[in-house]
Amino acid sequence: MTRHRTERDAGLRSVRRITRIVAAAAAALTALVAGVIAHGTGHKSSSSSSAAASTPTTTTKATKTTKTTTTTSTAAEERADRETAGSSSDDSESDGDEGVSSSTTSTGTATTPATTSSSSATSGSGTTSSAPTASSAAPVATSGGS
Amino acid sequence: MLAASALVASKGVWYLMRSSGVVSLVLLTGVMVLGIATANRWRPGRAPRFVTAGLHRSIALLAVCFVAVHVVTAVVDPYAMVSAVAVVVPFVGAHKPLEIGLGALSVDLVVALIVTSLLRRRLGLRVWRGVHWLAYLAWPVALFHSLGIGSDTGTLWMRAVTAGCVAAVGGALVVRLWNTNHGKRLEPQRVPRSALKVPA
Repeated sequence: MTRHRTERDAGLRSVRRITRIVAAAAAALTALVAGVIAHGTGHKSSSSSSAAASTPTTTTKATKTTKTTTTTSTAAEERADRETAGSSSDDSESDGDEGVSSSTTSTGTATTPATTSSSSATSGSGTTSSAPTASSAAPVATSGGS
Repeated sequence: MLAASALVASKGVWYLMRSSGVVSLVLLTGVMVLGIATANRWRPGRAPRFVTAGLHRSIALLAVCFVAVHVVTAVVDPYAMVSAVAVVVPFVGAHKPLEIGLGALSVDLVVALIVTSLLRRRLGLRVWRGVHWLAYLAWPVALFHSLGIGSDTGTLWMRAVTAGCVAAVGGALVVRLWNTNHGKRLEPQRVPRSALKVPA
């Protein structure tokens, strides 16, 4: 009888001990995973912001386009950006919402006026019409140049 | 200053929601494996057999705590866009109803399992066992919820966690089926009444 009781008490003690260990490990794992996610997101956001900041140095029109794109982001876009910022495989898709989309827009607009200005320089007319198209579309600039 | 602190708190809730979801999946996997081990009559080392069942029970309650944190943070976080109704009633949410609905369904099933286990003596063994078979549905539903809506599904570490969970449950199920098919009687045998009678 006492042997049974001793075994039972030892079993209950081991259950309690292992449960405590698992609870501590789970709490530590939660903190660790949160840290990993935060680190990944912070790294991602800093890289995207640096990309967005480096591109507009070519033209001033491009910076204006980037700013308007960023301010129109809704809570859903912010959530999508947060969601995908931590994942490595979805980086190209995630940045399509905010970061790289704005940078690609600015890059495209930065190259377009350069080509139109060169074409207008040869024709000698249409330089004023090509400048406002930096924020809108490239085909208008080329038609004005030709 | 206030807006900055609110932003940090919001991000903290967001990170906590994601990490508690991952840990809940790991704990539910452990509970599932321990449940199958209990049915397999496995014992850790030389410890009594009830240790496995005790661990299964206590870690299940621990998993429910982490699931509760996951659900509460999902409702609190404004960017998660999960309503209080959507975490209880499956497939009614406006945002990603299927993925969030799977999570809600898993929560409902886990709650049903816990409640029936706590009321096991009142319900009877047959009802309890019938409801407990739902565990085989709750775990994959939780896994599909994680795969469907998880923000970290594409990352390497999350893939490793998911693969580990699937391997653990799959291995336990294989052992369970192996024991069943090879004639090992795993269920507790009913003792005949004649054997209990004390000879006069």
